[in-house]
Amino acid sequence: MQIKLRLFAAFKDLIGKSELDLNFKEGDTLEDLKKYLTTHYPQINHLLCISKFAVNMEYQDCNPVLNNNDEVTIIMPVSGGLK
Amino acid sequence: MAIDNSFYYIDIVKIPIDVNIALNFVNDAASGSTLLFNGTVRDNEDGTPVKFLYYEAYEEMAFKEIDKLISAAFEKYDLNKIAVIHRTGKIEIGGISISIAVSSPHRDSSYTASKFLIDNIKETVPIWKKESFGEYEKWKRI
Repeated sequence: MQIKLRLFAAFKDLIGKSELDLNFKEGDTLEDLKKYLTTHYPQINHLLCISKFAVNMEYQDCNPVLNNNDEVTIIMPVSGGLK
Repeated sequence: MAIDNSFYYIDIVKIPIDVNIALNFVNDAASGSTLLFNGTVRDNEDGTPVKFLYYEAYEEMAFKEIDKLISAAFEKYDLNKIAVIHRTGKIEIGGISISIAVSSPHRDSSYTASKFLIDNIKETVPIWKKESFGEYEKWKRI
């Protein structure tokens, strides 16, 4: 199945692309995608551990099974700032 | 709870924010309070001079997340109208990165809702900020 990974901010800078089209097996989960990224793009490992993931524009707390044509995004900590 | 979109306005723009769009939207005969918050680009970060900021958004999701926060604000506080406008791209020192306008029958709701909105927008809405210090640039919070 095809997964579109959208990349923003530091992830776009470090990988050098704004999106990746990735192939996964039926039944693969968000964790499988994370493992793929850790193996193929080690330059982002230090940011993955502080980032969240969104699937089809919804934050994910668990480890959902991915579906064909899902849009996944790595959400590094947003702009923040002191109050 | 879905809020009728005639009561709120969201935009993400690449040009300077016109705060009057936000103020005019929330102008409401039933309101005794209209409050405008502008987030502006500071010239330093902990004393280190900043040249400019650059904001990048995952726009489609940013609209959805702001929408959720506005719904939550309407549930929590006694409000009439809300407008949120965020700017992306390069913003010079002193420029406005975000405007939040809120109107309500009484002032307490405007103040608390405005703070609720900006605090949560900066935690959950996928808009990132890169600081340019001249010699180098750095994404905020990494």
